[in-house]
Amino acid sequence: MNTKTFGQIKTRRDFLDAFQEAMGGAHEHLRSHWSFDKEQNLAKSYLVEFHPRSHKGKGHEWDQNIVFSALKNISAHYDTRVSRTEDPTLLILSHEDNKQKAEFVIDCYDPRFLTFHTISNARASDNFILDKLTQNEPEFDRFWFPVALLENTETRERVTGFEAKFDPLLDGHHILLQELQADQSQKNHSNGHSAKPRLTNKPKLSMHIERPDAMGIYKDLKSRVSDLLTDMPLDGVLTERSDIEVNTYAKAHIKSYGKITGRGPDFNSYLQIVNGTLESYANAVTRIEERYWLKLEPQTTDSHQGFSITGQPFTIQFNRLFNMSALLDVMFNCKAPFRLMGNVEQVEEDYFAIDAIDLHINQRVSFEIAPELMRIYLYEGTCGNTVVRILRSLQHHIDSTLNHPSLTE
Amino acid sequence: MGLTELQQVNAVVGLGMKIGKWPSTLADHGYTLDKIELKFRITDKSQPGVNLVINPDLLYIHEVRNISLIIELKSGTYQGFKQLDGFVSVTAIDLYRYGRVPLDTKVIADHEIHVVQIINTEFLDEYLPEFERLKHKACLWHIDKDAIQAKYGNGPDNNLHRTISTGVSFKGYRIPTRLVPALPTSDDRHSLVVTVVKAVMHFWSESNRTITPLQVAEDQYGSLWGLFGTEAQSQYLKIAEETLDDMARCEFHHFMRFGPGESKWTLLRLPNTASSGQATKTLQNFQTTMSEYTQRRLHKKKYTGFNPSQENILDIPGVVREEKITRRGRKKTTASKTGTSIE
Repeated sequence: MNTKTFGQIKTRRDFLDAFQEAMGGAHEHLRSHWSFDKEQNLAKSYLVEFHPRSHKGKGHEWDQNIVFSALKNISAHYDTRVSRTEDPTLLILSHEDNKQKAEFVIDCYDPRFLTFHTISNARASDNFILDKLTQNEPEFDRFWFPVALLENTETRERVTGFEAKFDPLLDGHHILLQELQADQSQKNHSNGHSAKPRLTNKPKLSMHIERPDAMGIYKDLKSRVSDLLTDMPLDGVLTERSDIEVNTYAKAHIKSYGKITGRGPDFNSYLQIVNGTLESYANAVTRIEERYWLKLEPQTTDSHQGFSITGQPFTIQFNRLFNMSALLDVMFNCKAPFRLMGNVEQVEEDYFAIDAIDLHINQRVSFEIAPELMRIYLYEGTCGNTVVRILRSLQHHIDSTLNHPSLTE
Repeated sequence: MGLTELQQVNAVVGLGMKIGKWPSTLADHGYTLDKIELKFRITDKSQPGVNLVINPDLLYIHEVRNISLIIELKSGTYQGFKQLDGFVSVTAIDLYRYGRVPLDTKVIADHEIHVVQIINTEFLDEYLPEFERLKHKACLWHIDKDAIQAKYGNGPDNNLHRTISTGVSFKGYRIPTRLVPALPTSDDRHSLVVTVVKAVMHFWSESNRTITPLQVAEDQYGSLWGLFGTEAQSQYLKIAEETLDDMARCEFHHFMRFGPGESKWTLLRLPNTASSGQATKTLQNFQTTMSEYTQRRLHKKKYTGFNPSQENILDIPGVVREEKITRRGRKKTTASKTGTSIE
């Protein structure tokens, strides 16, 4: 597809036709030649959460015009052009960098949870969405799927493969909590010295398995987490959706950082996977905000005044103990993956409270951290996205066996 | 060292919630937190024509058992019973009529009010004899990092009384500290100073160019700000101004400057002005500065670093510049001594 074709997209019908043609063409070429034709790429969708800087209110009531204005504003920073279509919920964006051009059709039917669809080269599209838009612009953030939300994919789609990835940020500082308790009880029984808790180095893990019963294998491996395989957080799932009446199908590779790549002849089926993923995530984030937004609400009349409090902290419980100082250094160093800047207050010897700024979106969030728990205080107005991002980062870099409140109920 | 009043508020508010790793004693007994910092007036029956201001820290309601639990928290030493005497004179109709507490009017005649003063354990020896001497109608509970326990009085709820009398241990739990923020009405100066630092962090991270005490207040309290009385507002604004001034003169002098005549502080080295290679370093420097500043204020230490309000480094006592004196330099020195200009 060339620029002209993208420029011709005026309606949702045009969008579906153009992407169906591109996806079907790529699929056919791949089947017959085992390679893509020139400028032929897989369909990709980037799921992006948008929160306008100007919006300070409780809800998320803004429209597609605000999305358009925000994208227009960032065009000054990057070589970007954004235009409207006849459908107010569809925008077209093109970006050029080092002669690499990426073009996107932006579905902003829900003006908070956006989808950037593209059939441009992955390097160019990743460069714009992952390295620029969601990295530097606090109004835009990626979707961050914690393990529970990726696992939940099997309730909507047929899962034919999975990826697990663990990249430890703390080395040699953790021990299994059960081991410590066992050691403690042994010490109590023997009334004497016990062996010191063992320090184990966390192995780096990268696993990719494609099998029809992929989720069964994943669950089996996860249940057997051991010294050899200490952490196995789900990082991506391969899904498939087919149409019973028409003999067609699509496959989608959903990554934990909100990128979906499609294969197969049917763009419509692929789009259903994308939209299902988006809705599931949007529901989880909205639910987090409803349940955990902490707010003081004024209860005032002429004769009296007072405040009521609603919400509660989101509490994560670790199954391993950490060196607190190392954990704080890793989390609050302004760097990826957490990108948190904070003021650490020591409450007790091994208990800290931190008032922080989430540098992804420049919003306030507070923490209480002890070796066995972390409470996240999400203040009214701070995106629920912050909680799922922190949760995902903890699972992928600190402790994948942690427990947290349900995200799907 | 005992809990600060803010820590006490958070601990007791936490007892009315179900949050991980903290006991939910009040919630388990059926109490729900109705209001924080409730303030209303009732008739002072002891003085004709005079109103009494009732301003307890917390008000819990037990709808089923038709009980209100009025809690007053004190982190300091015994200061008399003036406030508490007012609370025990409150009737259910007062709560309903003036405090707008949502009581069921059909059973309001049977409504019982339980007044509790919670103090730090370290001051128990001061409070307890006074409660006993005056046979006060209010109950006395004491709290510290290890437990909360009733020490005097029993109140209308026997179940709750039994539980608190035995003592609720906090061992193995982690006290919540961020449920309720430091409000402008608070006496905890350090907590209020920290709110100012938090506001500066927020403004700076968003690359805002200036900040004023009022913006600090609005950032921290949002729509609640307008509800605080004039006295509390001006107290907070004064603390905000002093803190901004102190920050700019001390550790934060790289990141803040006072704009003379404008009553606002300019924020410098903003994240959006840093080159991509320096952005993280700039953020980390700001974070380190913030930590140094709050630690110094917490421990009430004097700032010993560079003070930008001094015109140049030679103004610092004991610092002497050692350099060659050039002809022009000699002329300048002579001119300044005689009060003339060489320009």
